[in-house]
Amino acid sequence: MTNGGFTRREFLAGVGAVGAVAAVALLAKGDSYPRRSPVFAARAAHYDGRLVEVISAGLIATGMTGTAVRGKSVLLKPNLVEPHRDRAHINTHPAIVRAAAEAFRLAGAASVVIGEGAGHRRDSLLVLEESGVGDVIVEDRIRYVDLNTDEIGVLHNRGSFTDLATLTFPATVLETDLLVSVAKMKTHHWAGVTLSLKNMFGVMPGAVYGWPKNVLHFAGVQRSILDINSTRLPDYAIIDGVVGMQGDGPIMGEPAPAGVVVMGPDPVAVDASATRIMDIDPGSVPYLNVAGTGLGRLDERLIEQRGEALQPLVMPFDLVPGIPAQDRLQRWA
Amino acid sequence: MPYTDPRDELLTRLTSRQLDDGGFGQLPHQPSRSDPTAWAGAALRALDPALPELAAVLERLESWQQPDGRVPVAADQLDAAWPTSLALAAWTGIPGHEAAADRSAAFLIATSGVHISPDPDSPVGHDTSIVGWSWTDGAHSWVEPTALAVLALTSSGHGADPRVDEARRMIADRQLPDGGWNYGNTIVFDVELEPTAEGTGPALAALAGWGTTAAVEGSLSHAADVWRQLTTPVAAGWVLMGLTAWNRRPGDASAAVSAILERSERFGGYTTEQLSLLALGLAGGFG
Repeated sequence: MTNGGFTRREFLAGVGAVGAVAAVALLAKGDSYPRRSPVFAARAAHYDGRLVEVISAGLIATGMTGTAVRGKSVLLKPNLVEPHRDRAHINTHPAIVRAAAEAFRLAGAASVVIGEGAGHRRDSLLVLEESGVGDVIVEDRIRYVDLNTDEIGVLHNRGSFTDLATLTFPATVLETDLLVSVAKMKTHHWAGVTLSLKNMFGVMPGAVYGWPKNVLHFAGVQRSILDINSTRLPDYAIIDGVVGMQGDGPIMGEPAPAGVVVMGPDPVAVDASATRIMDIDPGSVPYLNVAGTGLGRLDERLIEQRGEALQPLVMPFDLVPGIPAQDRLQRWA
Repeated sequence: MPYTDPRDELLTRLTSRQLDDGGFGQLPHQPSRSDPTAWAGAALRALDPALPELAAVLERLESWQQPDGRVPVAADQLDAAWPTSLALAAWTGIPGHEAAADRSAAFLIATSGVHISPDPDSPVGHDTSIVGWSWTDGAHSWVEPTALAVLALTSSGHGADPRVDEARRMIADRQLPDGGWNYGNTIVFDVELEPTAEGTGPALAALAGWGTTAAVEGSLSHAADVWRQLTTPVAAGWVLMGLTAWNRRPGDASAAVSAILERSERFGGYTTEQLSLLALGLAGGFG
């Protein structure tokens, strides 16, 4: 039995131990990315209508245009971990969700759906109402799918970082042409940081994995992140860093107004750039370090930064001493 | 226009989506699966145990029951056995389903979540050793699956089993210092977490008749406070069940359920689980 979410020292050591094996496994698969992955970053100080222009510019700058989008079904997966209408730093902001939906529609997507499987056992409609995403769905006539109770399909676990032989995904995730992780820029008390890869925890159906996706915590949070993304990597990543969260994330931390949106087709590279903006070395985040060996680009030299340069965007996110997953993080800048 | 009888409206909405095989999908166009079927079965039984449509629901649930008594989410998802409690609640007291109910009760009594001896260095604040029920095999016990098992075992005549008493102690241990419950964590890294309606409702329902009112007074106050703001079916259903169990049922319960039914078109209709929880709230519990 592993201790999962209770004593993280054990699994952190475990991830380090499997890192070399995992790296070989990931490298053996090869990867389909160009030598350098494009990542777009733009300043965005407010949640306003300008975000459509920002995200549209990002799609163009990272090659997500033409046949890459036209006629495709798009599933936007925001991070709606706990609904609090007055705390914009917890969830992906509805203005970002709305802007992403509009940008993909403008780019020619055949359909845009919003899907989330809240990590805690919550009333999914209450989550939508309190997060503000409910208004987006109603006003913009976007279909919503509760991924916790959706129909399901089973895939072979292509990561093998955990002992789970298979992974069960919602049918909507398996059927969509483009899966877009629309994450929040946050520090996290179990994973160090939560960005587009960690956001994929929320696609795993609670009806199968329980709440708070407990099977995956017992299997190891960081290993599970790698397994999920090895098996169904998002096709695109957008990170809401307009107001992120620092400290005791993913729920109880403080607002971090980084004023930035980060996006691109390589989720590892997007997470790497976002982590650097948080003034954290992505190589010090165990799951990102392993992901960079085959799932995508982590090395700065292999990321083609478009839009704003990273250095002027850096805003050091507060970390909490005594939380092991944050104690091991190293500053980047 | 408000529904004059939300009970009739709930019965109509639920039975109209019953499939030819007797089961339910979460949405009308989906094939039947055990979890929405078990929710619907428990809700229909609570609203009207003599309902003709109930017989096919209970038969369909039996078709998914495994030899050890569990009712899993799917045949290839045996670990996710949490619908067993709902199936037991649906079968209880209905002639012809005694054996299925007995098998499911025996499974529940023999099954628990994973528990760990308390660790003084652990970042979590609750007692991880008290045994309850988990959503799925190999995971920790949490509030809602434990409450569901307590409610099902109690209504089926197993309330005196020591597992039920320990489960109630587990739920009591997860009560937040300032009142209410969430999914089952109290303090993490020295920070007290916040209560939710969906955690507080089932915990209160499961603790009714056990312990003192004073021990849960803060949680009852929290539930009564949040009730006034609720407009969605799952949270409202659970809070209604929790308050009803402690004789604090709001006077506007029926009107509120009607209003929530009216709002369903905002999201293109409710799932079977959402309708069922609203129905269980209107009925005041599993019965």
